[in-house]
Amino acid sequence: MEDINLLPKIGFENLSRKAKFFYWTTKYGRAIVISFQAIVITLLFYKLYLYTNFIDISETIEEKTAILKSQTQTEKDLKDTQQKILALKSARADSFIAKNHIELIKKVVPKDIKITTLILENTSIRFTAHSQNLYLFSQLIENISKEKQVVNITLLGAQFSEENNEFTFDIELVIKKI
Amino acid sequence: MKSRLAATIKLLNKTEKEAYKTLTISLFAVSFLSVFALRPSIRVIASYRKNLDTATEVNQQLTTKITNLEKAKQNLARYDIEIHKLNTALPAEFNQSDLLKGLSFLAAKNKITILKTEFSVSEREGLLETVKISLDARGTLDNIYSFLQNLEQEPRYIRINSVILQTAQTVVTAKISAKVFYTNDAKR
Repeated sequence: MEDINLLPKIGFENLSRKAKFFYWTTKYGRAIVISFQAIVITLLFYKLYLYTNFIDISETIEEKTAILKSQTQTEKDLKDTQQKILALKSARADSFIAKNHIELIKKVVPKDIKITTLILENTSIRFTAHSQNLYLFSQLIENISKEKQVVNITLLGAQFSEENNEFTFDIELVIKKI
Repeated sequence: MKSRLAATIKLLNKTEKEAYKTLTISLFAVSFLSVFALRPSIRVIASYRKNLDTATEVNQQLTTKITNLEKAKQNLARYDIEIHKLNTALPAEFNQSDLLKGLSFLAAKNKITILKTEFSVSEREGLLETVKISLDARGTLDNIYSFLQNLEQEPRYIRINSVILQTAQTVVTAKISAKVFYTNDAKR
């Protein structure tokens, strides 16, 4: 036979302070603590997962560092080559090709003009030319002015020698650097 | 403010007061556990996460570097001839006798006579040490031209700074000012 409790149920508000605290602890407190424990345990597993990954990656890094150490010579050779290429480029930047200057002179100077002195420099060509007549000189100037790489023509001096019956010109050409 | 709060509490009945008390205790418990149980765990995880991210990034960079070095190794092997040419153009040291031999060979090949050769140590140009060469030569105009052309095509890089040509009859005297470079590995 089932027991029937005929006493009226005591409401929460009517419980003593201690009883209220126990009531709260067993009902709400327990739920809160369990929830927090679940969260903390989840976090613990997550921490383990992160730690395992970190260990794996650390091992990979160690392996790769060892590989890199074994390739130090390649790295050194590469840097050396790159530096040499840059140095050569920089050295070449101030250079000129004498062959091009000579070809230009060969091209613009008429056959009957005789050159006695020819100075080839980075961006300039200076020469002393001898000609029997002024027509050849004008031909020379015309030929030079047609050349696109010549930026400036300067007549440094002109002389006429009655003894040899020839004109002497000192000319300077400024060459455009390509 | 305090009296208003007290007045509001007075308005609540007993059941409502108890409900608020329960709620307050629960909130306090949640806050307490958050501070003393959750916060340390979250901090540790954040630190692990940060370490892992850093390690992942380092790993990725190392992978890239290894791949690039592999490519570089292949390229160094592929362009071995060009690199050899580069090393010949810019040797590690200045070898005067080799240079003189080379110049004499060129002069003989182009049928010109070298009258004088002078070497003087010049200033450093970037990574390179330089040596200035002053060279006086004599020959026909065509031979001098050909000598200059060959000088520019030498495996060892010779930079011609200036050329002065003076003709007398068929003989040309050339004063060539040039520079040679070397890397001087011992100094680097």
